[in-house]
Amino acid sequence: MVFESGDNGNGRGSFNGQIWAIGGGKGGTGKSLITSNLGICLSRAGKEVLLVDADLGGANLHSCLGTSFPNVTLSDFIRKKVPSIKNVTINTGIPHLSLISGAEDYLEVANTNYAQKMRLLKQLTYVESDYILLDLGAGTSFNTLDFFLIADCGIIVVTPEPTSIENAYRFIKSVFYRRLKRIVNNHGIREIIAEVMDRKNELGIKTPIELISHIEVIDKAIGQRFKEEVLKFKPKLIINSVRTRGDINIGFSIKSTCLKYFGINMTYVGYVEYDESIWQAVRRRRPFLLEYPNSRPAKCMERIAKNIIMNKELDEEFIL
Amino acid sequence: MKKFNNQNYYEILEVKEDASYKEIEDAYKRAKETYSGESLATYSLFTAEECKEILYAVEDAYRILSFSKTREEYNKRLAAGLSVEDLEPTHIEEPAKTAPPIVAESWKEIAPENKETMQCAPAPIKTAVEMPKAVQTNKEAESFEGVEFRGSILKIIRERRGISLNLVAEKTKININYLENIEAEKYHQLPAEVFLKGYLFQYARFLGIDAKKVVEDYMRFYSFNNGEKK
Ligand SMILES: Nc1ncnc2c1ncn2[C@@H]1O[C@H](COP(=O)(O)OP(=O)(O)OP(=O)(O)O)[C@@H](O)[C@H]1O
Ligand SMILES: [Mg+2]
Repeated sequence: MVFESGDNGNGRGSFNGQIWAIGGGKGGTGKSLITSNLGICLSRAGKEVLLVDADLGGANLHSCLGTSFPNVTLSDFIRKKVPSIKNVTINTGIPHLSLISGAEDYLEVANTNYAQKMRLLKQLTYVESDYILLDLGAGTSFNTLDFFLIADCGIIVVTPEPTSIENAYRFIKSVFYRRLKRIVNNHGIREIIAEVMDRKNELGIKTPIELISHIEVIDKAIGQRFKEEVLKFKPKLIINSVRTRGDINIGFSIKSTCLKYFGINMTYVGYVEYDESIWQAVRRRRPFLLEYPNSRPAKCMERIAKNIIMNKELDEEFIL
Repeated sequence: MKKFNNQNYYEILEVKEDASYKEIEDAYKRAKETYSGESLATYSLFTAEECKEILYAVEDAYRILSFSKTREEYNKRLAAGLSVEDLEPTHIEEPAKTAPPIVAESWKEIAPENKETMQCAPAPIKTAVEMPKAVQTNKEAESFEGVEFRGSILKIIRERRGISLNLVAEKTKININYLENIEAEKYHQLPAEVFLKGYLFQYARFLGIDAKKVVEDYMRFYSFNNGEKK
């Protein structure tokens, strides 16, 4: 889990693999691009990988991989048109890499409730993959937040721009508060959390740290529980489209800011350089990593994949 | 998990306690870069004022941790169980400034300006002056033994320390009307119980008095009075 030990009783069955979710708030920051290329990195290392387009509003992962729009999608599964998740899993033509394409009739699917998400998750664990990568949509809808929370590893993609960073903070906060809300039944406390989501709340509580010291007064045990959650919540951070050394350093600054403000310790796993050849590959609908496997951005992606697997931080010494 | 101003120097610099001097150096540079300029990463969460505060803390931390002698000294203090929260709680600083310990005040009056005599000033007084703030608070907490923290008492303590209600409101972000009603014991004009407890806690912490006891005591009066009305 993004939270290391889960309590959501999701019945992981015999699934020994890992679920990664790639999100981050703002649209167009490169989430789908990074998801598909991370998937390719892993598959090239001989792992079985399943990519899931969980962007229930604007599915386009298939196009990052150069596959045509499939005739079965996630919505067929969610609407129970097909019995098993395997019926909507398609081959990408890339060895070891399969895909579940996003739902196109999004109005219906956007209302997916928690039970349906859990059914989806449960079915995913029957897929024999080493890695399942969920490509999330922009924004902070409950679907997006829940998929992020369901994952073993939550990855946040940010570009070095004010709006992207602001949205990423909003995303982190929303994910975190949603998690806290899920683990308590106490109505009063859930109300406080809802209240605190609004930055200008009457309580004057701005940060999770303040929230938790407030909760501790009301209920020590829940306060303690929340503290543990903060420690367990360790999303990964990727900075995409960097052009300067300063852009790379923004990753370290975001990490520090999140630690001081939210108390949340992110792992800055790496950055991807801005590169003309990336959008050229995108335009040709060819996966970048297969087109330019020796390019600098390709190396960036590989390092990110490695750092995530090894649970390591970007090492300043090795910045390209 | 603490607010940054309650953290120890290692936490402030975001390094492990066994960090090498190079790591401390790097962490310092990074923190300077993050909190001194107009970093894209900070502006939406921290005000310029807060960034400055963090920077001061970072400078302090670096000054101590970058020299082996001061660092060892500091490590000893940490190890001695002066818990990080006790080191430099900023919320106590304020009252300490406005109302310096009486011992210190009287000592200044008695002590002549002469350096020589100053050196042989009686030892116990000197310790009183240099005593860590945390110890001062503990001592004060003790002297409140048997006191029941109702609104009127909180008011007395606050006024004795020369702290205005405005300052409390400003620092704790608690609405001043609530603070007034808390002190005036207007039990029917107070926010919902859960909020009230939080306010009391923050207020007590700001005054540097036993916050848990304040909440307990106050709530006893509160429920008694609310119960009577019903
Ligand atoms: N490192 C990069 N260098 C150059 N161009 C890039 C880079 N990263 C992303 N892009 C461009 O940005 C476009 C948007 O990327 P992508 O579709 O992956 O974003 P997204 O976050 O998935 O968007 P959405 O929120 O709409 O799902 C890509 O098509 C590509 O042209
Ligand atoms: Mg996308």
